[in-house]
Amino acid sequence: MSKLKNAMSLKQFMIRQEVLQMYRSYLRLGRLIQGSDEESSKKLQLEWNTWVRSEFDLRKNEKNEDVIRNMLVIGKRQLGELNRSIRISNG
Amino acid sequence: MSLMWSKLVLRRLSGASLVGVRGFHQTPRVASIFPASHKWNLMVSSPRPCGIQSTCNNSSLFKLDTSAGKGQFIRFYSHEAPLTLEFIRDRVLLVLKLYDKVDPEKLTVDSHFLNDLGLDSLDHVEVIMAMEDEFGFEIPDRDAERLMKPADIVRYIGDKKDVYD
Repeated sequence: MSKLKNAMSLKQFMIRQEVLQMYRSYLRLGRLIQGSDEESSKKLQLEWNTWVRSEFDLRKNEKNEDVIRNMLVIGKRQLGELNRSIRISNG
Repeated sequence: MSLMWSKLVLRRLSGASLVGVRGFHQTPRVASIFPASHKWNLMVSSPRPCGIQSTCNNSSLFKLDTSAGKGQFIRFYSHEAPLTLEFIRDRVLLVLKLYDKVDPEKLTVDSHFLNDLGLDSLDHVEVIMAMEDEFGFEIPDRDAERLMKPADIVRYIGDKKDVYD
């Protein structure tokens, strides 16, 4: 019985690590954002960070594993799209 | 050394409107002050950390070679200030103090981010990212998840930057 319990928490641990890695990827993406000057770049990056944080906070209390996996897939897809748009906007 | 550093920080703090707003206030990169003269090499090899002092006696920016009738600009390529464990510790604690989710009263070198300072794992990621910004190199995920106290971060950066104290 205790073995089963450990197996569950390992899966949870792996999912948690994936979520944290995705959060880090989003923050790294925020570093690429450029504004017209240094002041506006910083404002844009701050806005990006607050937005990403609020998105993760909204969903962090979800307990259902399948829902979490679903959100991870969607998040990764969105990460790719945002990556492309940011690189395009930077020129 | 601390006078120069604190002057940089004060100038930054007074000028910025982002302090106190949610998020990290970027600490300034340590200004490069040392000219690439032979005196710099002597300082690096000295056993005691010298701190930030001006050692530039030859302050001319332009060298005139009258015999050949030509002049040349001397360019001072910049180095970063020498890293000591104490300097790293000060910078790490400064970055954490500027983070608005951290209570500066509870902050010590050994305070655990999750248990003592009450941060959550997303905050921890943000802290490590701020350390990357401060020290200018990337910290991979598998290393980042092990760094749970400021002391761990100081030791890790010391290892990565080859700082022996």
